[in-house]
Amino acid sequence: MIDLIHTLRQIVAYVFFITGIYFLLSTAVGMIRFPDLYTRLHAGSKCLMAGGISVLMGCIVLEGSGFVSLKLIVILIFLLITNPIAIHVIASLSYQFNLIPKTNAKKNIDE
Amino acid sequence: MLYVILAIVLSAILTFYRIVKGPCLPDRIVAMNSIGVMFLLVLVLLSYYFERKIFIDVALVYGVLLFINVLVMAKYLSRA
Repeated sequence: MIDLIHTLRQIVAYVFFITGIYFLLSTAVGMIRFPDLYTRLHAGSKCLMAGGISVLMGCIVLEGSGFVSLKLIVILIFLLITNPIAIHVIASLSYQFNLIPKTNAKKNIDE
Repeated sequence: MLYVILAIVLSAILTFYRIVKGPCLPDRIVAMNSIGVMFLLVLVLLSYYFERKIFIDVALVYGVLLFINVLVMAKYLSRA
């Protein structure tokens, strides 16, 4: 019975790890192939946080109850608070540099 | 567990292309932030690979310093 619970916990943890790897590779592909700065900000915020949450949730499932799991939850909440602040600060900086987006939507509507 | 670490390191190497060839400076800052979060996850997984749970504190301190790096860069570059 204990062996079955351990095996099921490991299966759930590796499902979380595989989804996290998928989102992180999606972040890398988007960081290479997007044409503009603001779309790269979008890739560096949402996909990266999805991968990080998935990998940390897999580690929490492998660990179980204890102080180590509490430290992992603290890391997860800290990433959820601080990474959108960092992306917003970078976007504000690039607005002060007057960096316009490469694909302007108004031209696409006019054509 | 080792294959998960290798996949995240491969993702970080692919993201490093944007640091080498970024047209402007905020591109490089975004790529640096992404690589920093990926290595934070690698530090958490290495704590499981070596079976030594005290290394998670290293990852926690690394996350704090990464956030402070981005804030200091933005504060230095935004104001004249």
